[in-house]
Amino acid sequence: MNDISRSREEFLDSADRFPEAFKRQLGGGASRRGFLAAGVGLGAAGLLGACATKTKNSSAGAAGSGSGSSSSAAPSEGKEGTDKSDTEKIVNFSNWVSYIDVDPNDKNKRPTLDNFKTETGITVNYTEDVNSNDDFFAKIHQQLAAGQDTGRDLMVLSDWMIGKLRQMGYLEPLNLANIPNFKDLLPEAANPAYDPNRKHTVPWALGFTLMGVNLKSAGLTAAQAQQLSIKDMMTDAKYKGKVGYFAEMEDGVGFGLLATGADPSKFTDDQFSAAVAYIQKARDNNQIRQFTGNDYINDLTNGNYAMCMAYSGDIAQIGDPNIVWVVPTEGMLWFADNMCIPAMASHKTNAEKFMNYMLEPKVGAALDDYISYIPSMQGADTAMQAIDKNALQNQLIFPDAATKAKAHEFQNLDLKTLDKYVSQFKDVTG
Amino acid sequence: MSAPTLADEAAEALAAGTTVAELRADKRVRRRRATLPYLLLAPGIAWLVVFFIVPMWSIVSTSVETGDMDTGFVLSWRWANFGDVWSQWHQQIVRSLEYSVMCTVFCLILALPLAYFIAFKAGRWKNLLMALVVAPFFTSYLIRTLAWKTILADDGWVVHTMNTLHITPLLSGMGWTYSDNSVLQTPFSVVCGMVYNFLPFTVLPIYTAMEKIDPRLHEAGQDLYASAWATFRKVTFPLALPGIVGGTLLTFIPAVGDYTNAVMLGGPKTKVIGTVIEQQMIGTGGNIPYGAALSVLLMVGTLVITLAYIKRAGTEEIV
Repeated sequence: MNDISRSREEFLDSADRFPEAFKRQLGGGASRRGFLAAGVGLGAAGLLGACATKTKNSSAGAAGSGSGSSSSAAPSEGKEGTDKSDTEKIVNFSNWVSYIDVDPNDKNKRPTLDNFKTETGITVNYTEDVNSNDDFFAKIHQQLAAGQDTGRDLMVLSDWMIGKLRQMGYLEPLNLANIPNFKDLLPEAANPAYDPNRKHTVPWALGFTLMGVNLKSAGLTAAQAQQLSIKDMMTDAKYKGKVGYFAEMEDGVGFGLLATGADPSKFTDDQFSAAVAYIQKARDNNQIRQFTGNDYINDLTNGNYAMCMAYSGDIAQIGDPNIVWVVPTEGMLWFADNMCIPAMASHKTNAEKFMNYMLEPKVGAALDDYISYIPSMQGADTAMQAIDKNALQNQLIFPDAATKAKAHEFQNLDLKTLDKYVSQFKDVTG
Repeated sequence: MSAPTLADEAAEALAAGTTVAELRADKRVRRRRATLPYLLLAPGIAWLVVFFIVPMWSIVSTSVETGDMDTGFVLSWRWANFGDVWSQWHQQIVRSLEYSVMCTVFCLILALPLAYFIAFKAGRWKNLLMALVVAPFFTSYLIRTLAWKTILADDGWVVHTMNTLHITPLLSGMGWTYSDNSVLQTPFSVVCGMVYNFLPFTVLPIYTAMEKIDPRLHEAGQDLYASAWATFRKVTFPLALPGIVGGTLLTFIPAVGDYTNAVMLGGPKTKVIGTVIEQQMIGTGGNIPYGAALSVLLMVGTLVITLAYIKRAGTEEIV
């Protein structure tokens, strides 16, 4: 008889004779032994884990110092990857949701991308995976920090995020030889503070951050709504719990600065803190129902919000007379979303060709006619004549001087201040 | 251990009254029999090591690392990470526990009569009703949760009815909602979503336990002049207890870490610890050790609560 079966028999035998002892052993001793065994296993696995952790860290560290990303004062340029543009006729493009024209007869067709393919033979792999700058940054940060290809050749991000990526050395400088149309940029769009002389970016769309109002839910007429201020939105008890507010620092605090009488393009630390406190108060009073990213439209259209912060083109695209855009009496904000090429991209030349294509007036005009944002190249108004004459009168697409005067840019910030401000505002948005 | 010499083996064989060859064959069989159980256990142990112990170690060791995303994280055994995350996010931890306890209690209140009815009163509808309890699982969790945004929308009939019945002001008076005519983006809507999503996990084990109860025990209770309530309390409930404990655990444990409901149905004041962990691990927070420390805290906390609960409920069958 072998050992195991013998000990089992002894065990059962003793169980018959001493049932109480048997129970105790089963309940206490056995499980404790199991616990000890698990402890030994844990130690062994620990050695394995420690090795794995170390390699992960050292490789990340080496890559970080290689690209000289964070600590150096002068921002370095994003490292170039191997450009496979000649052999692989593709460009991998990450953009925001509902940010491109769609064929009215076939929702799967995007004329702008299809025409580009006909012209150049390059296929655009278009992914709508940007919902907020912060979240998208979190998605690609680890790969960028490790000096790896993110799998993207082109992405559209907002002004302040461009500033951040550029200062961290995560953007590749553009080769203007591939972008001859670059010279046609509107002068006011050609030299933004977040990317001097647009060495790394080409604008995708320019627009305004303003207010969207659901007239029925707010109990207002269209004319009354035009008199609304940010202050009304943030303090009027009529709209308590029916206000949507942007969670991104630049948008959110920008409105807070306007409401507290400061200038978003030129403010002090104290003014910033006052604006944050102002928003905090509205939040604590349950005036603000939710902090949102790009996902506010449904709540506005179905009446959960009476009003909310909104991007101009989004409201125009809804095409519902009950949902109107309002320039708050205190003013509104400019924003620019920009195409850029992340470090280590594999199809840089193709991406630049696409940028060049997007700067053609008729392409830009067609896009902006659909998404209702402001074209950034000269000649777009002429091109628009042939596409949609009404668009020329649309203040969201071709704003006049009076409308432009109400819009403020957001102050450009260095990395340290930006991080400080973002985390300060994050305490409010939760 | 060196191999035994032939002389030793011969002496041993002589003592046992067999030949050397037989002795060797016998030993081979014994050795094989001794190792066989371990071989049979190996796949299970390998599974446990790869998918439990190694990840466990990975998360515990990560929780005591320091560094940042750009320069990488280094294992520095900084146990103070735990103090940091507790002081920074204890509010969210407590809130997660509150929501999950509320969710578990409401699930239990709904599940007990439901399971009782299906097990004892439904008759031939039993299987159909059970299928209905499980039916929501055929739709994606996210879509089901998102649907609650439509159900509880300000302009929806649910909220209109609640307004008419003056339930909404009552809820806001209790602090469960924040305004007198809406319920979304409040603790109330979050707990509603959680209860809806976790209810089947409570119902199923309770039903299974109740289904096994012999109906003649109820008849015996009646024969002994016990009221229906007394029969339930003294007969049905104790016999269903293993199912109740199992069901509440199956609800409570995942509910503590759940953040889908808080994100989709909640607002700025309903942030739970799951969201914080997500933000630290893969989101905008970017401090992976903090995320890991929070995960460990949550795991230990849940374990302690669970063990205390099992000890109190005293059902040995399920552990």
